[in-house]
Amino acid sequence: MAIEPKTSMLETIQLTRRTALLGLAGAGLGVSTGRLFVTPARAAAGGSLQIMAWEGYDMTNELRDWRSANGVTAETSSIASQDDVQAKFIAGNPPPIDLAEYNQAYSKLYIKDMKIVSPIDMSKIPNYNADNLFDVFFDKPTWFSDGKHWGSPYIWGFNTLLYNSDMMKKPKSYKDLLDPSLKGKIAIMDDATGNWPLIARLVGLGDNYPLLTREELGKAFENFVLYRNQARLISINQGDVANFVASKEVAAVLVADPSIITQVHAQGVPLEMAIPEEGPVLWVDAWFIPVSADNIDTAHAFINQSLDPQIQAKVATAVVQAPVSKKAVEFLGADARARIDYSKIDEIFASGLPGIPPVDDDGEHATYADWVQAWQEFKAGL
Amino acid sequence: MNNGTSAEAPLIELSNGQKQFGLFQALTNINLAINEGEIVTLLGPSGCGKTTLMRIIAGFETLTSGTLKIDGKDVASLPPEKRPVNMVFQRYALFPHLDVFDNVAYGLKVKGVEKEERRRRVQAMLRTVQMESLSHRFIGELSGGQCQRVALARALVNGPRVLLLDEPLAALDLKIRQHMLGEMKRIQLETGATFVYVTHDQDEAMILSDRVVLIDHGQIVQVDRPQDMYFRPRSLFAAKFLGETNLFEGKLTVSGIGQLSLETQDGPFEVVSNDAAVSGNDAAVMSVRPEAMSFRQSNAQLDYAVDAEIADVIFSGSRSFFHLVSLGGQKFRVQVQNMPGAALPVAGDKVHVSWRKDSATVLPLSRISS
Amino acid sequence: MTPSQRTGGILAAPAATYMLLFFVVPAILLFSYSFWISSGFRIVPDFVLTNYISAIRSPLFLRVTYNAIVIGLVTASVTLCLSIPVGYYLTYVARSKIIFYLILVTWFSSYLVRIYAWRTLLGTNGLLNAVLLQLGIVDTPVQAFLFSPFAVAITLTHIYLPFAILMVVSAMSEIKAELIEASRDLGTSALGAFFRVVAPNAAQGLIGAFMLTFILVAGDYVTPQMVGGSSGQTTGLLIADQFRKTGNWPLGAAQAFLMFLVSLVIYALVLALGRLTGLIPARRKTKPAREVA
Repeated sequence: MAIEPKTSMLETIQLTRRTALLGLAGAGLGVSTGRLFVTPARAAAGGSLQIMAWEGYDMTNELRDWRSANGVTAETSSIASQDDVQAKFIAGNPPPIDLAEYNQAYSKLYIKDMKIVSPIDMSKIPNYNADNLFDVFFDKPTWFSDGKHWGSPYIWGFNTLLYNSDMMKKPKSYKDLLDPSLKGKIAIMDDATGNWPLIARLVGLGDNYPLLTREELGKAFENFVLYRNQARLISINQGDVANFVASKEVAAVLVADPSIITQVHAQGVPLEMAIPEEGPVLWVDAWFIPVSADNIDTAHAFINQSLDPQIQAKVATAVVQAPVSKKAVEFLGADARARIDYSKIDEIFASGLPGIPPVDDDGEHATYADWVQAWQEFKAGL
Repeated sequence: MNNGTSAEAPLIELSNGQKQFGLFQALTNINLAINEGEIVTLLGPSGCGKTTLMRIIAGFETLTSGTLKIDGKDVASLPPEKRPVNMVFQRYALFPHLDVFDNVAYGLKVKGVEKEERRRRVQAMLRTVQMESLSHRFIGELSGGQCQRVALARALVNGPRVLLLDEPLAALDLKIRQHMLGEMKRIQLETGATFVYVTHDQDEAMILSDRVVLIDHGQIVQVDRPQDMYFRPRSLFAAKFLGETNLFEGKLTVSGIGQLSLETQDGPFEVVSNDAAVSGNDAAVMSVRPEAMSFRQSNAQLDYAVDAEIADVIFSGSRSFFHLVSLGGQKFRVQVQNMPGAALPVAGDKVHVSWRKDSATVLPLSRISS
Repeated sequence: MTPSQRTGGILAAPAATYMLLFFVVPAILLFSYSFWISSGFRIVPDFVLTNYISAIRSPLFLRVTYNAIVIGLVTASVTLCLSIPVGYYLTYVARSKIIFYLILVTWFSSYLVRIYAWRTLLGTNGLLNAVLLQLGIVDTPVQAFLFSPFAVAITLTHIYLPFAILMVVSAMSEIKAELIEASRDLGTSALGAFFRVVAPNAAQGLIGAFMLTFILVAGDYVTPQMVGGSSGQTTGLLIADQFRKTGNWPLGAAQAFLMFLVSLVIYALVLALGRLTGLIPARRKTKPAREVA
């Protein structure tokens, strides 16, 4: 069922029946060093934690006191896309990663297909309870199945169209970016799974996503080429596109993380967010403990910290996204509460969270690999 | 053998040549004329500037001031590849990627000589240097002497007006060196080319050259035929550089009208030949070759003589060397041909040594002749 | 085994072992992977040519490989042509330490920094456009400089030039200046001496510089990703994606080895071209010399 557009609060956020959620917040490549500290209420903390997370989501700053109080050091590897996580597990002998994030679209792949997720003992995580979490995140199938908890929801957000309000009018549809006056002035993020739902929606196949036939896939990408023709660049990370926006070479970014806005505002460029009629792309990130983890107790303590309302509010504000904790809302600043109407959260998530195209070939639908190839061809100009 | 005098204009003419490298004066006041068909050697100790002079003729260096004319034309603006000059390099500089034949043919190929003609000339030259059976070898397979011959052939096959040779025998063994000297003379006679030879070895210079140009510290000290330079050196440097010599030190005084006398510790020596144009009150030496001295009775008119004691005798097959000390304390050497049956003095003997007045040269103590 | 052979063996052993363990063995492993298949983010041992065939049939692979080859050849050629005069100068004209160190110093700046530098230079508001606008050669900034094969080639030329210069200097140092003088003495100009004497003798080194630049450029993917745009994508990124995004290591391995084959072919072609133009001499086995007058 469609949600009526709201004019205030959540802007004109509009949800189609299946809204894809994808974690973006592009980060750079490479390994980071800082150690994260985890102070659980009970579990014995201490030692070192190996974490894979999006840049800025590892709570380096937010948990500094907790870390020093508990003698925990953390090493974070930043990921540039969700695929970086499963890449570690492809060929036996995975590194001893204690904590990693996963985007909900990948839950089936990780939990059931690749089996790289080990169950979380929620008794060690007192902050995980129905009072603290919004209902849409508590014990839901994406993270809770077969009687076991696999992932702990952590942060959610949406990607949408960003535009320079000085250079163009607020667009009503993504299709507005095909205007000839914008030729060579838009940017597309090189985030495969972040764009795919939109690519499907732009040819009216949004409801089918992620199950499109190969023929439909071809049509969708054929259409998407029109946007490439409008693009100045396909940007590999947020910092990159921020530069181009700041220099005014780019007037709009097709679908990207709104946290770019703060980066650009600091340089005096009025980048704004628009929620076009095709809808934004929602995502929810959760923590999970990979099967190769070695410091499991501290990992649990870390997750508990991640659900602390004040910590939730701090992180959400820092990365300009939304907390999963109800109690965190009161700690949010006015700006953050203006962005999203938390009282309507059930409606926002009503259409559920779709996954990624199937990894195995079921004979009918385009597989994940097909989509990746289509995306590669798209980038190579084919 | 060409005696170096010719009625025609010289083939190479350097006038007032100076060469500076930064602050270092390599060549000063070079005036030199080389005639066609001569073998001229630039002789001098290491670092004297002889190689620089040769490279200026070749075109790899340019004069800081002065003119160089080859065949009457000023060649200052002519690069090496356009001069009618070819060079044999000290370390041969043979091309490692070509075999002997192609090395020798290189210059002809560059000039565009036809293949058949090329082959003919190269074969002929290889015959001249006696390398024809090895024409397919590469330089890694050749000995030093063979490389030298190839280098010679490579240069000569182009029929240059002037062949420059930069210490070509320096890297060879003694025996081979001597053999090659003979070869080079033969080849020069055969081809009639003008050779400008550079060496620090006075033996090579004397054996090979028509004329020797003696160079010291960038200046020309003397230019003469080898025998003239040997017997009549005009400077102390020349006397000491070419062969061995004895030096009797003394002071010049005027002993009469137009007469000079060298006062030494062995008494006065009347100056007979004054090639070095010394004058009274100069400190000077008398230079006498060891082989010019003997133990015969002296003739007051024709000879100089000293009395001395023999310090040492060295028998050396065809010759004997005597180390003596004169009554005046002067050390000197005498060289005598060993004749069978001749009685020679021994160490400790007191002897009377004499030599012809015209075999001695009186030289000033400065290095350069005026 | 002679004592000196044994010493040589011992000295070479660490390096050889290292190469064996960390290069040869992994390469063989990777090669064996290329015959496996991947399903659902797991790789399964097998022995099929599927990966090679699908790579060769894929228009995407052909297109990006074509890009890689063209960009590689252009960059390697330009780099070599630029290195030779510099190398010549450093070896024969003036052994200037200053210039040498200047070249080395440019190498100290990070790879990524250079890419960003070129992005700025070639961008719409960049130096190149500013100069062209100033000179009146164009009316509006040229967008096509950045995000094009041109941008990739110029960035990579800049990055690999110091490297090539070092290799060229090293190759030319072996050729004594005397040989150039001898050639000039025999009638060639200085330039002629280079082609007839220096190049044939330094051929191995020069070709080495060319091929190494080509291989590094053709396999590079960071630069094409950042300044290549759609028309400058190369195989490297494709291969990286197989390892990171789709978990299809066998396909990635097959693509990698196909690129290896491409490099071999290019090398053979370069050698053939060199021999044809006489720049590379045909060498024979040489026997050691005997002392003879």
